[in-house]
Amino acid sequence: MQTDKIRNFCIIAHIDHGKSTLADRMLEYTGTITDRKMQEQVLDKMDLERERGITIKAQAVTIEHQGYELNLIDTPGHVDFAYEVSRSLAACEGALLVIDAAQGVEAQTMANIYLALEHDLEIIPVINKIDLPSANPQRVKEQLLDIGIDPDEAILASAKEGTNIDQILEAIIERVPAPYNGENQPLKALVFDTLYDSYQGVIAYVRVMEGSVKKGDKILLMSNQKSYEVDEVGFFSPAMQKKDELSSGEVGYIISGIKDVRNCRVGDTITLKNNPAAKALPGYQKVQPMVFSGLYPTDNADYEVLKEALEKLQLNDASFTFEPETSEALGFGFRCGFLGLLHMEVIQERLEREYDLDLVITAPSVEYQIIKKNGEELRIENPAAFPEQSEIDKIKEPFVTAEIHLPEEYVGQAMELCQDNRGEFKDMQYIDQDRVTLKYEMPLSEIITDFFNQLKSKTRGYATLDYELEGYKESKLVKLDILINKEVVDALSTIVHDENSYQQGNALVRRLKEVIPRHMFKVPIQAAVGGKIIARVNIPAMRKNVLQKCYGGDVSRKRKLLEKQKEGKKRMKQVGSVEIPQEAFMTVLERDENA
Amino acid sequence: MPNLNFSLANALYIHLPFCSSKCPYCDFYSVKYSKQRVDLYWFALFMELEELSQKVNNNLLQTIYIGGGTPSLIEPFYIRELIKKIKKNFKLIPTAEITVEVNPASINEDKIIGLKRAGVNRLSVGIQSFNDQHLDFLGRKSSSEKNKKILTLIDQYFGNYSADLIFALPEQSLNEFADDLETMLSFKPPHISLYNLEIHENTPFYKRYHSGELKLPSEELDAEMYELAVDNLKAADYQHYEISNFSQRGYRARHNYLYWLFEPYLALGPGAAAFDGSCRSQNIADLNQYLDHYNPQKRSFKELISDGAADNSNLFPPNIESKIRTLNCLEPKEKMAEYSFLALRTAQGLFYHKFYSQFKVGVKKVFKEEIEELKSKQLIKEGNERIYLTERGKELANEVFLKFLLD
Repeated sequence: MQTDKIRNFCIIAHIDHGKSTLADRMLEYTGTITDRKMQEQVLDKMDLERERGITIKAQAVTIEHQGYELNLIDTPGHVDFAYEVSRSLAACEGALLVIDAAQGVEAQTMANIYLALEHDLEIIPVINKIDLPSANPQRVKEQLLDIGIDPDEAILASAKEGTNIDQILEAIIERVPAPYNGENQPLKALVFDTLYDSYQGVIAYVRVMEGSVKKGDKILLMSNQKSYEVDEVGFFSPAMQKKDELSSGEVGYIISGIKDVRNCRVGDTITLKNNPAAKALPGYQKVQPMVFSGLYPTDNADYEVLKEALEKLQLNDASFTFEPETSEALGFGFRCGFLGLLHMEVIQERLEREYDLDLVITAPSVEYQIIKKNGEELRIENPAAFPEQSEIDKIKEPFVTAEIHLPEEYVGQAMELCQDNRGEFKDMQYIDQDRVTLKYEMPLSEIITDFFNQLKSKTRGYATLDYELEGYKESKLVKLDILINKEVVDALSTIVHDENSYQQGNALVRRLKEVIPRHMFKVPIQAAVGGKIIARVNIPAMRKNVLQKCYGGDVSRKRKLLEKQKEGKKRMKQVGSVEIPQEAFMTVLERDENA
Repeated sequence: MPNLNFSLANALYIHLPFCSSKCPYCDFYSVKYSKQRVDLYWFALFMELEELSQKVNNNLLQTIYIGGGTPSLIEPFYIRELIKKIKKNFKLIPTAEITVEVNPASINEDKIIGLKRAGVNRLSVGIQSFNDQHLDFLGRKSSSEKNKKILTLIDQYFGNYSADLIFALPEQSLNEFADDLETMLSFKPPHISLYNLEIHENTPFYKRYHSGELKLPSEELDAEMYELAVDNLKAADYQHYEISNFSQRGYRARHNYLYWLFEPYLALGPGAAAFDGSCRSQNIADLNQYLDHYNPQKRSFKELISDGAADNSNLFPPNIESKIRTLNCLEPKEKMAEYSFLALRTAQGLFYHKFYSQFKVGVKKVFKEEIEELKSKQLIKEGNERIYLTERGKELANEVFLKFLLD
């Protein structure tokens, strides 16, 4: 295809402004999808994505329209996947900016605009959901004017009802610039996502920036210099369709027998072995996990199943790491690394759903740098593995710059929350008259507790959060141990700031008292720092547990109640003589509302 | 109609699903009482009874229990006709126990006499409390005074009766409960049932409890109340013969005891469940569907009686395959669990030879480790070829019962 007949674009939107519905409508309108019974929102493939209304993996689809090849790249919509998003945008020349006609410009809309501008994308504003009774497109246009976007360029549409989809397609053709024509240059293809298929190996989603690639070519991955022979190239419609060649400007896939996604990472440049490009495309980085937690099977017998499941998941996700780990309390399990909390939740949910595993998950932690008094340096992401307090000279922890977009009225609450989480104020900017961006420097460890949830609840859901790793800084940190029935439960240890240790120790033992059920005997719960007990509560012994009423017609119902109780017990982890429910290991995360 | 084998059943439960108002803790099936509904219902009930009696042959009934709902709302005339009909269609042993549940709010001397004349020989009266505030909280339309008056009347006409008391109410103090208990004991009822307030799904209390509005007393207080009751009742010569039931010698609830012995029983009425030793068959808990099925022409019971036609079984077309029942047959392990925890509810406990004759395997073979563990925790005791709950075991009975659920 000639480059002047190609348009590459993405859709960016605040959550729930109708991104996926618009994509579906465009596919239907252009006949890319003929089956009317298609599942809603074709592009979000995983159940999880559909349920949560978020996109986790990038997707691509080629739309043919009036002799043009329109490549739509759907991007993930969460801060955990910021790097993947940036690579998807780098593969495009234009962006549809979807704004809800009733909700108007939101904080995330702004973040998206900045992102698009950063990648030099032509922005086409689409005011969606004009069918809603509460739609107010005029107000949205005024808002656009405020933020420096020409409101006359905006297209009024209803993705739900299919209104003005033709105008949007026309605008893509007219306004999005054609890709640069580099057909005579050596191949440079940007990998913006990968998928693993057990038959074909790694399927690399690529945007060819320069040159071309076809079956039989010997390709070279520029970051690791590994070379492979191409088995197949093609495009998505949205199913994979073979093609003879992918050439400059086009979006599609390359299959070349790569067996491990870690050898073909997002952001890498594919070139030809015999005619390599002089320089890789800019912006490649190997994404590193930032959040770590222990995953343990509730039933130790499931260890092998968990291991196989983790291996399978990793085939598809190079950003997720795991290695074996042993806990005195929890037995054999794995220390896993994730991009962020959402990434962690997604992996956990997939393990529980797709592999039917019952897991105990320890509270997430960051990677600490420890300099011991003897000069030895350690990197530790498991609090249980911390050396003795007396051996430690310094501890450094990762800090991030957090950017919070929110309506002005919530600024006070958000600032308070940041300060409570050891945030240091950096900057505050007005985006428009009632929208604000706050910048804080904060320890990453504070962000990965339930900071985001609290931020959401304190701002009635309006705030959005982005963060970027700044580097490591020294902090006065201590290890907070928890003893249950006089025994240290290593999986409950956390790293906290020295100044907060009493308060957090107290709060934690109280929360554990709430979630650990009574036993036949009294169970003391203690918090300790460096061997010194700083907080204690007792769970009293069970006194009464009996169904007092049990007669004829009711017997089976009572049995079912008992069965439920038993099921609940089974899901607990036996530590010493105490049964600890799974959620106890996550309560470490929570913060007391009134603390 | 599911094919159950009722040949050994000698207990009959009849559900009368009518209440003047619904108590917010109760999850039994009931509808609003009206004379007309009762009349239509009685016709249907007779039909089901006729149908049932054709399926069971020569069963000797030892107990009849008429529960609800609020059976005392219903004119004794209907109860009399019902007992007459049962006696006609079944064989009753001469000393059969015939119990009717009554609510102090809807009973009076005439009705008590009427019930006695109808052949009822045992009443179960829902006293629940002698504290006006607590009665109000429980949605009971009676008062402390009324409860006392009714107990005196019942005591006058019935030698055998039972009174219910509820404890562990929100904000109830140990002293308040002690007062309730003392008042109850001053009447020396032959039988007392004692329940802590349980929060059941689909009740107004359930919603209030989960919204945090209702706070139940601590486990400690709940246990202290129970222990106080057990001690006082024992001191007053009551036998603690089941976790929640106490009686003077010779006054155990015979009907309920058959449930705990895992004996089969028959049942009539919407929501009622019958048991044949392996399967439970439950009638749909919906009066309208029940009436559609058994009284589709909406015939009046009183007319039927005045015609003298109630005895004409041709009127009853019982051959419709029933769509108003669900059948649930127990898996062997479910049966073992139910058998065990029902037996353990009683003071006698679980007899090894009875378990063996039910399941053809020894209880100590199936639950060897469990029994040892429970013994070591002093929740059960073993003696004379049986196991039974200790005093502590009665308070923590669920911990015991859980061990008898097989995977």
